[in-house]
Amino acid sequence: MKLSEAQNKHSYVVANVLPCEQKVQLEAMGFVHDEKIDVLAKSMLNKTLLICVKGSTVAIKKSVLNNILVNECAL
Amino acid sequence: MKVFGFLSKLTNKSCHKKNRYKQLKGNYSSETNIIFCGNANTGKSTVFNAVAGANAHIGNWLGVTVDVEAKQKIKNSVKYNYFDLPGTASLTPTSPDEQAAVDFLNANKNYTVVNVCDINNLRRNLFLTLELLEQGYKVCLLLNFTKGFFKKGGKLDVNKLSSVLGVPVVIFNGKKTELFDGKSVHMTSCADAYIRHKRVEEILNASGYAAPTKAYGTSKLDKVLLNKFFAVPCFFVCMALMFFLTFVLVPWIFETPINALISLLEKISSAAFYNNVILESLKVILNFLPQIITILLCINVLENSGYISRLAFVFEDVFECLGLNGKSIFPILMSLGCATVATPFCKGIADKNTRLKTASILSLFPCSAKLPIIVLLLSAISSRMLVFYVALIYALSICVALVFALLLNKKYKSKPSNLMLEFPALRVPKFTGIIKNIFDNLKSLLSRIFCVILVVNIILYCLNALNVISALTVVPLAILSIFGFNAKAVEALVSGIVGKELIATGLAGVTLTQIFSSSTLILFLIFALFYTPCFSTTGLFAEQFGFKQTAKILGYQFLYAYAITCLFALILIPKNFVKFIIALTVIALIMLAIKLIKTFALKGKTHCNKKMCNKCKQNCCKPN
Repeated sequence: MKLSEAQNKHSYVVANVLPCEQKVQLEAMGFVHDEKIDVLAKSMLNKTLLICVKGSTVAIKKSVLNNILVNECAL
Repeated sequence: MKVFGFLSKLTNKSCHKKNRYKQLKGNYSSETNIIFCGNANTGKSTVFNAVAGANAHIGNWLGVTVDVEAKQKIKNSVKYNYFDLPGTASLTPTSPDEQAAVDFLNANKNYTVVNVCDINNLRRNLFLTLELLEQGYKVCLLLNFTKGFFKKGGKLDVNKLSSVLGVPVVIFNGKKTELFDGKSVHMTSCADAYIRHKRVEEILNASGYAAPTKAYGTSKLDKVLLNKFFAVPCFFVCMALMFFLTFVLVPWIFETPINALISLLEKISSAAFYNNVILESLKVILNFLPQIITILLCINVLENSGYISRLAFVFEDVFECLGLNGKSIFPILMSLGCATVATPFCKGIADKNTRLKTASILSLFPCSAKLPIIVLLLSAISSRMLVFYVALIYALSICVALVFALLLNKKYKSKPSNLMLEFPALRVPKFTGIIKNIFDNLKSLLSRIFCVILVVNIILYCLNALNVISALTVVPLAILSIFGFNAKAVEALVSGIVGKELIATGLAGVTLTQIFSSSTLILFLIFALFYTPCFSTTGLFAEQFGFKQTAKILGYQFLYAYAITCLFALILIPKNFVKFIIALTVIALIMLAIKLIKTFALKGKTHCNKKMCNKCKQNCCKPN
């Protein structure tokens, strides 16, 4: 599933980052295969997610998260 | 553009001061070049200031440093050239400030690179370190924010880390550290980011790394500040507190001492020149200096606490509807202090059109220079309800700025927002950092006041004495007379193009109720707030976007301010209803004419001349 469809306060594991303009930046941030990520919060209009990756918190637009494929994992 | 550059330098002596890379005079036998680079918000500028004795602007949010800063020092016959770069997550840039950092690194591969890392975030920061080593740079790793890390039980064997990486690792202790010894290590390049991240994990495991703190952005306070429902009310509470401090508490505290100081200054001389030029300028500035300092203090507290990055997340969705970006909140908040200081911070926004729109609206927000004119004019209407009217004007300015962004969005379409923003830690701001920033801002403000305002007032005094001033204001008077502005008011507006404080000093010593009716006063205030940015802001805008774009935006802003004033005039002076409708129609026709001229001029023509085309980035002759 796409990370943009993720539920709030759930954990996921990155499966793949699709080729896109932000691929290099996303990978530098830590969105690589098998990386565990936590969805912390959603913005007011649900267009931006707050995500914990590699021990830091990042705010990312849903349109960017469409390019990240994830699998669910237990909390 | 050269004229704007010169004028911006004249009016903006030390505002957002760059360390000029002048050649230091002195004897030295050797030269060492040291670059401070790393991820955003790791403390590079703080280290640069401590080591090089520099004065770079610091703050607890991503994107404080937007250009390469340089400083030189001669010690023990060695000349040290230090360079502070904007933050970058990797050697593949995504915004102009990151591009500046990467370009500098690529151009100076033989320089020693001090890679400043946040020890709490090594998992992310070492990604760039490995990229630098793979590219063959001489690297020295500097670990920052170590005090809190070890105090809270964090673990790291620094010597082990150094031996595993193969480069020197230094802990920054806040003091003036000496020369950094960089080392280049042979490291195979990773094509895959996954492999590089794996390498980072192996290095950290071998060094016994364990971070004690939770990720930034997950504290109890963050749960309130970032909550869907509480975030915006929290922001308005902060703004209301800032407003209360600036316009209620501080004026009450400083009223008596300021009046005593002004009485003292009045006794110095009774000469007409001193009274009419120097004293009137000083009175206006002194009356508002405590409020200006309070606004700067509040903005610096927000800047250094880490709250500003959270605001980017809170306002991202709303700003996207207006064609802006969550990162636009950084320069917008800075512009409440000074639009000139805020304009360079737009370089942190990746998309060109979003950057342009953000920079265009900054001068519409009420800055510290507009404070005297706002309070001066509103006090003439009602001193009892002053705070309420000032709050209304601030709210109006914000609405006007955001509507202008919406209108510009029709012409300058932004790419869909791709916000990716890391959160810094929420910290209690350091008192020394805040005082330093306020001192820098005040230095620039006071130098602008005494150099520019005094000079312009002297020039206006002389022009008045020679009866030349009326000739200069003929055209502006003809355009603005429909609002009931007289020659004195127009003269103040013309001088306000240089700096907004000049509008207040231009009206100083004049009984406002004699030259304005209450309706005309309000219209004058509205027009003065929005009609044009000051010289220094215009100069910095032209540096970023070019002369042609600057001229367009200045034209749009003037027409917009005129239209807003006409709309208010329709309500306030209904007897001249027809005049204002005609004026609004003329503005609409001018905009339509510009659009039609552009359409007919480009019809059938290509948008390039077989050279490299900016629009399609290739040699082409595609029809428009």
